[in-house]
Amino acid sequence: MNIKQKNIIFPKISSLGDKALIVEFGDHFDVNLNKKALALDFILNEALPYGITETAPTLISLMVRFNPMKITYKSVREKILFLLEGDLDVSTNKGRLFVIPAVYGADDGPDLDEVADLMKMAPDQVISSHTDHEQQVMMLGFGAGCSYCGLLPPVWDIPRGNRITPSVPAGSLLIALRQTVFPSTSMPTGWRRIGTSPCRTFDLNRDPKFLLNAGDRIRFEKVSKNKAKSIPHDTLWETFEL
Amino acid sequence: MSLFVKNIFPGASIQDNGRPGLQRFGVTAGGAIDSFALEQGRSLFKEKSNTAAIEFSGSGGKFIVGQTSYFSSTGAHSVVKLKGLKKAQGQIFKAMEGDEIEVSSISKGFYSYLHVAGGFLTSCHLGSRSGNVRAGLGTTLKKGDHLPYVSELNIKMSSVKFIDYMNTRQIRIIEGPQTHLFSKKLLERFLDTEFEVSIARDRMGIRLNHTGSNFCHKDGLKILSEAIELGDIQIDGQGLPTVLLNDRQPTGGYPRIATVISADVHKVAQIGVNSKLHFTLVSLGEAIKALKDYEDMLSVMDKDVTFLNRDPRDISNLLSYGLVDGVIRGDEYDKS
Repeated sequence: MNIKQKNIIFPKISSLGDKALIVEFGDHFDVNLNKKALALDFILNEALPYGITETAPTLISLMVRFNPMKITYKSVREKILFLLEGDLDVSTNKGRLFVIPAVYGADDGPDLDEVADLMKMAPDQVISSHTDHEQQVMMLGFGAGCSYCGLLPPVWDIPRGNRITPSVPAGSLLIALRQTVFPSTSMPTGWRRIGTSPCRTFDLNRDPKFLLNAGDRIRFEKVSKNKAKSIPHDTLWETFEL
Repeated sequence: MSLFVKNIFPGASIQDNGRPGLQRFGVTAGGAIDSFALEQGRSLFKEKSNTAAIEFSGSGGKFIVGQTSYFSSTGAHSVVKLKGLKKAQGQIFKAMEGDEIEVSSISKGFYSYLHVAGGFLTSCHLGSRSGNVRAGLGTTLKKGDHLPYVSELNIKMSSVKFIDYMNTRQIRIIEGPQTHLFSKKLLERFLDTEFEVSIARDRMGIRLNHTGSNFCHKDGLKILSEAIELGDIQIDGQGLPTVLLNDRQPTGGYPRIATVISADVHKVAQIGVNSKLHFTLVSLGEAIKALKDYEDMLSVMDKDVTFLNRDPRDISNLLSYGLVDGVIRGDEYDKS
C-alpha cells in the first residue's frame, strides 16, 4: 500500500516530540487516506498495546502517543509497520450512525443563499443534497467535540469564505471543501454557515460527554425551528427518533 | 471552607495534571504548565494524588483564608506575604482564618504556584480541575471567587530543596514530521537565532520575537490539519515562531519546524517576557535520556523535603542549643 509522492514514501512514520509519533498516509487530502487513518486507529484501539496511551486521527494521519519509559519509539514504529503490512482493511470500522436534526437557512444558516449561488442550485436543493448524503466523521479537532464530516458530493467543493465570522454558535453546520464542520462550542470561522443543530457533540452534563467519535457516520435531517426548540441539547442522538 | 479571591491578575487558574487521553475528541491535556513546581508543592505535603494548586501567570493576587490550614508557594520567584510578612517559597506556612495571603512581584520565571494542604477542591470536569479557557473547562480565577479546600491540620512543617531552573536559556529541540519542509539553511539560521519571549503569550503558546528575516517557507505555509504536540514550534503564515503549550489547539495547519523536548517544556514556559533564548537541536535518544533524568528527579523529590520541626531525639548536639539557660530552685512561684 506504499504510495510515493515527491520522493517521500507513504505511509510515513515520524516521531512527534519524544512521547508520540505520527503516521502520515499522504501529503494531500484524499478521502481514501482518511479511511486508512481511521482503519489504523480502529485496529490499534481494539487492543491498545502496552505503553501506548492514546491515538488521535486527523484527515490523513494518525497521532499515536506512548509512554517512552514503557515502550520505545522504535518498537511502537515496528508494531505499526506490522499492522500496515499488506493493505489495511478500511471496511473494518463502520462506526455508528447518528441522525442529527438541523434547522437550515435564515438566522440559523445565514450563508445558505451564498452557498446555493456558488453551487448554482436553489437553496432547497442544497438542503436536500445535504440531508440526503450520509457523511463520515473524518476527525475531531480545533475544539472540544468539533467534528469534521464528509465527504459530500463534488458539487459541494466550494472554497472557504474570504472573511472571518468572529463567532458562530455551538451546533453550527459550516460548509467548505465537501465537508461539514460541526462545532460544539462557539468559535470564529472562515467557513460558511448553512444551518444550526440543537445537538451538542460535547456536553459536560451528559453521559457520554462526547457524542461522536472519528469513524462514526452522520446524516442530517431537516427540522423546523419549533421542533428544534423542543429538542433538549443533551439528547442521546443515536437512539433519537424524529 | 474556601480561600476567598480578594484580587487577581488575569491568567491565573486552578491546575492539576490535566486531561490526558482526550486529544481525539478535540481536547488537549492542559494541566500545570510547570509540572515540576506542581510536584514540588505536592511533595511538601507528602501528597501522592492529583491535587490542584493555583497557577499564576506573570502576576499574582490577594486571598483571604477561610479556614486555618497550611499553604506553600513554588515555581517562578515571587514575593509571598502572610499578613504582610514575607514567607519563603518552597516552605510550608500556616495561615489562620481571616489571614491575608498575597502573591506578588513575579520576578524570575513566569508561572508561580500557591498550594494548600490537600489541594483545592474546585469543580472537576473530565477528570480534572484544570482551568482551560478555550474549552470552557475547570476554573480560571476571578475576583470574588471562593476556592474550596478542606482544612488539614496534621501537617509537618517542611521545606523542599531549592532547584533554580528559571534562567535556562538553551532550550533543546528535536526534529518532527514537518522539519523536512524547511530548508537546511533555514533550520541552521533558526538554530543560530537569538529569540526573545514576546508579550503575546498565554497557556496556549509563546510567540517569539527575533531580529532578522522571518522563517518563511517557499511552498506556502499551509499543510493539512494534523495533531499538535506539547512543545511544537509552529511557524505561522508570516514566518514567526510560536512554542505551543498545554492549552494549545488539538490540531493545526501551520507547519512545525521542531518540538521542544519534554524535559525542557516547563523551562521554556518559565522564561520571562523580553528574556532571550536559543534552541539546540538534539537527537531523540538525547531527549529520552533527558526525560528519564527529569522523571528520576521527580521520583526522588520526596527525599529533598526536610522537616523544619525536628525531633529533639534526632538532634545530636541538642545541648549546644542552650534550651535550658540558668538554674532555678523550683519554688519561685510558690511564694507569689
